[in-house]
Amino acid sequence: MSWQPFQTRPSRRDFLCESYLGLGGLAALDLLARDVRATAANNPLMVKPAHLPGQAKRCIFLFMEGGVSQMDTFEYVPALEKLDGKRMPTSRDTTGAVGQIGTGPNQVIASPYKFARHGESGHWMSELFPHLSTRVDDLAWIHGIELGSSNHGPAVYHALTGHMQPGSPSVGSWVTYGLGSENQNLPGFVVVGQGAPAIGGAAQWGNGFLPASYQGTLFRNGPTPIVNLNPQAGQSLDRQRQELDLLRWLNERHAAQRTATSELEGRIAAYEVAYKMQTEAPDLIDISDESNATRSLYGIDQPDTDTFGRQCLLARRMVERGVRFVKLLHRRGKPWDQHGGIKSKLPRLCREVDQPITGLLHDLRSRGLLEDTLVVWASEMGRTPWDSNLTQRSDPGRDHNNYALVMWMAGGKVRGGASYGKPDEWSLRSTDEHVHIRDVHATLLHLMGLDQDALTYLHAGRSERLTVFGGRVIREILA
Amino acid sequence: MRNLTVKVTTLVLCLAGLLANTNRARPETAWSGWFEKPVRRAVPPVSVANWLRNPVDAFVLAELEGESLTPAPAASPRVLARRLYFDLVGFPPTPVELQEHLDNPAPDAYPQLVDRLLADPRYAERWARHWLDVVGFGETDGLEDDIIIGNLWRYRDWVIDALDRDMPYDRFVTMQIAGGDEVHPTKAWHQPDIQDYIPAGFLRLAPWDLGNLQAYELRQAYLDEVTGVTASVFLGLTLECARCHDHKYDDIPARDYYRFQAFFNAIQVPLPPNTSSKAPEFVNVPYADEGIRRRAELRITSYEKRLEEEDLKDDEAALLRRRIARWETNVATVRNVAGPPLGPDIAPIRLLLGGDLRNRGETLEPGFPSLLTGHSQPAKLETDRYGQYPTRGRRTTLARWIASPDNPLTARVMVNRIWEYHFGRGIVETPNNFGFTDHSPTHPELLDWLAVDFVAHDWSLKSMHRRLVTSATYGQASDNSAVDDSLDPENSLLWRFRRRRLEAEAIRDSLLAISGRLSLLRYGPGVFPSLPPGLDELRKPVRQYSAAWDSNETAEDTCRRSIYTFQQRSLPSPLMASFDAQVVNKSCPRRSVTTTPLQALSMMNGTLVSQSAAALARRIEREAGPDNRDQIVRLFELVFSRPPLPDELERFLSFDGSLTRLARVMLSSNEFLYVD
Repeated sequence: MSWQPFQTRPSRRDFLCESYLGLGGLAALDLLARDVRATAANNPLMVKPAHLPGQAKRCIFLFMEGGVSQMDTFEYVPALEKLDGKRMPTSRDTTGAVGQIGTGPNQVIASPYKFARHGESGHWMSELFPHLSTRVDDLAWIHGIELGSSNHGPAVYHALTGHMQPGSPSVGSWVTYGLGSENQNLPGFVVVGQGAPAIGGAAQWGNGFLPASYQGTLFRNGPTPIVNLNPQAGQSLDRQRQELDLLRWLNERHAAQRTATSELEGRIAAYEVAYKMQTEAPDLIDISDESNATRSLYGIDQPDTDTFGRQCLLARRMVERGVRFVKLLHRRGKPWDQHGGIKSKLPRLCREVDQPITGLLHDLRSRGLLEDTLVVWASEMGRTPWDSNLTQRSDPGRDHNNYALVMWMAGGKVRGGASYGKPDEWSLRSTDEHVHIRDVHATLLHLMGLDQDALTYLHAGRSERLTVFGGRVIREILA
Repeated sequence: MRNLTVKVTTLVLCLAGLLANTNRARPETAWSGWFEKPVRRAVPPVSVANWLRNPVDAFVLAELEGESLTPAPAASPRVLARRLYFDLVGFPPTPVELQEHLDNPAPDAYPQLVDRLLADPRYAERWARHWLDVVGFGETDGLEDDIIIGNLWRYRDWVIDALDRDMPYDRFVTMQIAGGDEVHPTKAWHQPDIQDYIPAGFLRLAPWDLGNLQAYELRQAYLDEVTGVTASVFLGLTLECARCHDHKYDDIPARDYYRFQAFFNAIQVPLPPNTSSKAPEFVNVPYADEGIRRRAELRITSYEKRLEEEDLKDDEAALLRRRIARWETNVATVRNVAGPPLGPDIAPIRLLLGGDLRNRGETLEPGFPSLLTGHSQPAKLETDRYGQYPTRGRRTTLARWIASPDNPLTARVMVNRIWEYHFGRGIVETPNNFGFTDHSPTHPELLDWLAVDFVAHDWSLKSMHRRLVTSATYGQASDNSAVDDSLDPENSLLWRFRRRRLEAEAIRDSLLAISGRLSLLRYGPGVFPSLPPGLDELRKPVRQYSAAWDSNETAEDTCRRSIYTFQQRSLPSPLMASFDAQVVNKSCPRRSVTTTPLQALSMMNGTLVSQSAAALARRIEREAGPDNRDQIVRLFELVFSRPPLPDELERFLSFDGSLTRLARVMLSSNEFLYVD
């Protein structure tokens, strides 16, 4: 048994290799990055044309886990004031399948917060969002969204993947699959949390049956924003470069001796991208070049708003650099799940996100980014008018209601000030203009230039899509 | 006549569906023969008979000749041996193993190697991982609190053991569907063997949420999961598509979905340990290896002792309590089994219109899909002779029907899976869906021939492996310069072998093995290999009884084979996930293979590769002595199963850096990650 030296064919790789060795450094890397963009087989994150022209290019998805109480924030429900402290007058039949968790007296809780109309659109908002209410005309509202379960787990998956069980691609994965990413030196789909666990953990931003290139990458604040970003102790970038040169030489030879090598070439390129990511990612999270005005716009350096303010600023820096989909998680472990604490806890939660999000909208607008950046506020369900397990009259809570989620969108081709969905007088479920979460997904895809019927992936012999049974694009909120 | 009506209705629905969704991919092809029992097909005639090594090759060559394609030359013995090692046991051969094989002058040296590897215990661990993908194995519930489901490592061990002993596939199927549901034809008061509850862990794998759901909702969610996964895993039917409406493409009315579901409605849905207000049922099940019980008892005792005697910090004490809880509930006892209810009542199964629990239709009796039986009559249920256990026998009835040589799908579906793992793609490209799909089967007659062969050899997996890997088709080189690849760019007719990237598990296991750190300990509860720094928040349990990624109890646990890693659904290891190995939530019949910069980061900067490179360098220094040239030769032999070429040797010798760094380069290379 002997090893025959193979005939080496001159190829594009040789050219790249030579030019890389000849020029060194960044010029060759740029050349390589362009090369990576050129072939889909090599790079699943290559930019792909949208189905619909002129729509948003990037998405910032604000996820408020736990089920935001709509009647204390974004939905004015005056009928509750008359019933405050009484039993809900409707029988179970008329409330339908709205989740009833406790066995208690189902005491109605009127919102303790003042509501007012804001902006030209005159949308009602509570006093808990003094900042956001100044930009109300940028926002389009969707009221009374139905999801399939009143349990956090399935509802979170339903809101984020279109399925109630884990294992399907998340919205961010679908969008990145559909459009690719504009920056090859950063992941296309990024999640910025305040330290999970979120419900379902990494499955919340998983790629499901899509290729792993589309899974969300968790970014954290700190010196190592991505897992394994930094070389091991004792390893320097120079030494690493030296190793990568040898690796490249070895891999080039390996590919030259074989046919059908696009995957092999893709992996050669991936090492160069990873090498570059090591400097690009820390640069991304280093906000020292931001002005004091910008920092204070986001509420950075103020105790309540610092953390989420930094997340929002990071989101802007990411979309600026061409990251396709940024998902922000507020706090950890369903903070918005108010079974109690409507008075004691909710104001602080709202305060933590109000100024940062408003700052983000303002900043995006003033930098000309809002026109092609879609911003989405989401949670996994709404809440009931009552507290079924009322233990503390002075600081009540609300139960889950998976027929009453309120979301808003801004930016892109969203018609600011628009509103859709008409809940009944108690905000239990919609009576008119009914919206299902798959309609929201269809609308989100549309606003990203993607057609829900064309954005499919063949899995187990079936053509799968985010909206499963198909959703209706809510044209009423489009510009 | 009724059947015809159903067909016409389905066709109309199907057309309506297509018209409504013109942009969606349109299924075009079904091999209508799948729903008839396979018959032994005649081996087709071919012109180049001397290429053939067994009947498989005749079927493949006939297709190639039909398209004027020629098979690739045979792979060299060295390449073929490396391929076979990765394929059957999941590791590269050691230099000694390889040399022994290459020096074996016997004409049947290769079949001898095949037999040796099939008898290797590592084979069972390798192929059990494939099965765990197929059934959707995970050890936590995957939803809000990610609770440990309990005892599922014993199901995993059972699978490994069954494959090791080459349990006939019909029995393998029966035990997973009907474990603990045994009915006895003559005995009046027969209790099923408690050991059989372990394989029935199959029925308890799906993620499901305890949450605040009403009991009936929980039960329905559970039944839907079990119905869907059983049909797709064993029958290759997408029955779950008929949950809300009649199947769009296949002849499966929604009624049949619920008739199939009725086989499972006698299952008592078990709650995870630690979460029930009722004391869980406490069952002692003998272990395959009694050493595990001793290990459990020793650990529990030692942790209790430490808690009593030492002055521990709060988090240390909490960790010990968590470990005790884990060993007690998940190892020392089995408290969470899917069994028949003890009482005589079974809730009836009703047709749910639109899949909606609140919209109930007619009551249905258990029955097999009419697509396969040609009728919608209820199945005749197995019962014990005296009718003592009215709640027993349903799952047994279903299992016997599935695991029967007369079932048209069971053998074909399994043979297709085995084919897929050996050749990189199934004859039916969608192993969980033998219905209408976008792809026609590549070699339908061959699949039939193999299915008949499989049953004739007592459903033996090892015989089927032997049949496939000793074929000339399998022995081809992975390059074929004689063929213009535009004729068949996907290589669907197999004019060359498919070069493949190793799966995440094989990468990690091989890194451990090559660097001499792999633990050969088999079986036992899941272990917790170290995660990269920075995931501390993700490791914490959400609730007291939720899963937590604790530090390992022994150093050896860090180096166990990947199949023994605890499968926590909310926390897949970043290295594994980047190489396409998620903790599976639902049946995963085929892994995707992607290339991402994050994989490169894991290789460049991750602890595993770094530690492996250092250990490999020490190993080489030990084995090859101080000479650089000898060291590099050894490095190539260990990682690539070949000596370096002269220019490779020169290039490596001229590298200004340590052996550890050279080792890291080798372990990150394509030649290591891709198997020819």
